[in-house]
Amino acid sequence: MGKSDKEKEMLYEWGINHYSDSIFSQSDHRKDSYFQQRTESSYCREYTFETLPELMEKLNILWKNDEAMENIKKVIAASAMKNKPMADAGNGQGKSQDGLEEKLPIYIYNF
Amino acid sequence: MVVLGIAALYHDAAASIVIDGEIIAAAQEERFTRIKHDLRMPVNAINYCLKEAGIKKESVDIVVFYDNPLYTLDRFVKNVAAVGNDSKDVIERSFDSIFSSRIWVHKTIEAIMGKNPNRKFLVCEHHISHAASAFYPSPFEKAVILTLDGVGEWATTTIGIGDGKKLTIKEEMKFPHSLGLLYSAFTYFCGFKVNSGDYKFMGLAPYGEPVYENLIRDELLDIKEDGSFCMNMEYFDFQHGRAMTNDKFAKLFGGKRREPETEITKREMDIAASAQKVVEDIILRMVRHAKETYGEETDNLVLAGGVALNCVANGKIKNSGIFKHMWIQPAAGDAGGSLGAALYASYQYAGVERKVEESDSQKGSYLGPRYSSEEIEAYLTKSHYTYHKMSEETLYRTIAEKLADAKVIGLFQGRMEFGPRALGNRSIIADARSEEMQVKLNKKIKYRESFRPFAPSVLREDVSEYFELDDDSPYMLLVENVRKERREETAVQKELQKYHNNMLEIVKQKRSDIPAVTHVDYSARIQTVSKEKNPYYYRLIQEFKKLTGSSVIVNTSFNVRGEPIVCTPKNAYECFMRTDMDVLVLENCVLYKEEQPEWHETEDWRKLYSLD
Repeated sequence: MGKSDKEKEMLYEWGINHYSDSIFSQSDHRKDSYFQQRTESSYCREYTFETLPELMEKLNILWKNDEAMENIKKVIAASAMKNKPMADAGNGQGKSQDGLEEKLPIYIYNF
Repeated sequence: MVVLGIAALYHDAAASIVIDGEIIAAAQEERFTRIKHDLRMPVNAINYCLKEAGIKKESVDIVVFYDNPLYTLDRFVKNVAAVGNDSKDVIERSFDSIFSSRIWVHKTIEAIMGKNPNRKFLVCEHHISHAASAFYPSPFEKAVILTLDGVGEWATTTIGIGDGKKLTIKEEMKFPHSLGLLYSAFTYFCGFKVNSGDYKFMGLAPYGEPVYENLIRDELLDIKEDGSFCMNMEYFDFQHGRAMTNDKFAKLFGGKRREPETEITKREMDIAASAQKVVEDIILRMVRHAKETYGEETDNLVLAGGVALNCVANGKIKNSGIFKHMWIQPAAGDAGGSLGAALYASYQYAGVERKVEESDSQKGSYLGPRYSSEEIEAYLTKSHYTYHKMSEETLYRTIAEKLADAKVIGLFQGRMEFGPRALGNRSIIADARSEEMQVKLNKKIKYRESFRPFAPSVLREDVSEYFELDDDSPYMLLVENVRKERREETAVQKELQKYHNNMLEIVKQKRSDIPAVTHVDYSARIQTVSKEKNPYYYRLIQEFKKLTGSSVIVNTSFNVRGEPIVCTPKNAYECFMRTDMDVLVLENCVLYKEEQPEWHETEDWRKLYSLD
């Protein structure tokens, strides 16, 4: 049993309950363009947090006024804190790329 | 102001260091670890950058990561809701990476760099990192910026403006509608690995006919006049975290995807031709739209993002004349994001002034480690390898003579290139006039697929004598045709029919008087070589010209298939001895194969590198 299995299951259930076909933009032959205007211009910012409250603060800003995300925020925060690197975990490089790639079929784009 | 930029955790991890706005060093992690496209934290590249800059970790003022983990988290979570009860695979695939690595990227980097309360850690949006990598090193005070890739956080394409040191994104397309993912889907379907195989897919296109073009337009895409598009996700599977395409896609194209390493059929050639044509159309529409909307005050265009490595499309952009001037980041993929992030943080966050250089400030993209003659000689002597140390004059003449004698030469000099292309510093070179050279290089040196073309390096002042180009192309990012008067008539489709789609038979046919670098459609991916940017490489080709009258040579990267480009003299020697290369040149030391001791390895080196 993996340490995040419970959170994965909760995320999956949340996904079913909040399924929407409008999250990804859909084809619309009436439109002139699929480009979306970009208004926000703050592209680069400081990034730091250590504790659960600090992370929750960031998630509150990220998902402000998003009701659907309210129901998953705590699960997300818990998942992150459960997977927080230990102080002596090293530089994250590891001997191989396992853990980052082990679940990826080798012919698929990694995003 | 010392800024370290880092790219990692997706593909092609890299580090770059910028001091007071000047690019000092940059390198991809794969070159040090010898794992192609290594995506792990670039510890070795970071150490190299600091060493090259002559500074300790404590002296770094800002570390900037090229992606915003929280925005990526947002995309991941919403992807789950977008696919609903079919989300198990995408959760399983990405969960650990998101929550173990990406969200905690600041802690991982802190573990590498050490704690320092005076140092800032920043995250820079992915497409801004690309945009910055395209604009800031360019020779333009002002430019329109186009970035195109698979996906960053959400954006897959952006159009923006660079002015002085200000950089603004104006509009964007978002996941899952992505030119990079679309191209990768076709790459995958035709049996190539994504990321490394897209290039091969592009090279396959000239063998085919665009018979699937209308099918792609009608079934897979809704393309608007401005080049923006929507993909019909019923045919794709990447949003589910499984494969790039699904059974419905396969049915559309008449059967299952091609299995890797199996025979390439006419279908794959035609799909490649069709996809390339559609992608070129999309890009040109975007360029036109960008010019009409944002290009009133500038005739300059800059490009980055992985799709900007599609040099065939780049050639079409150039020839369209929509913009008068164009500059493309040589490390246009994710590795270059480390450089862009560092530059953006320098100029926009830290307020460093930007200085625009007349040709560009990328320094030829020679930004990696170099090895002195002393270091090289010490290595060769210690290893008991026979070598000949030569004066400059003798060296260039010797290399030229060996090239003219149809020898294949591994060339290792100067600083390693940053980006996927070898530009004369970590290159395998050969005589472009040789009719047998393409087959020989593919089969006995690079050990790669026979259909793949090779690219030329040509003296800048002579480029228009050989190619339909009279402009700089120092980074091998433009494809143009060989001049008509140099060509020999061939008919690819007829020949393919005659030889039952055996591409090797097509490759063997002479297509011009520089056959080794002329693709089946007479195109070539050109590197122009100037004395200012690379005096060693320039002198070498100049000497070859004195001897033969030709100022074109083959330039392919110094590696075998699946291996990263060589980084150290040891890597170079190993590659030399594992292949049928005839001569190895390490700075001013020349080694001949017949003089080397017998080569033994404890394990089969072919197993070290998975096929790309």
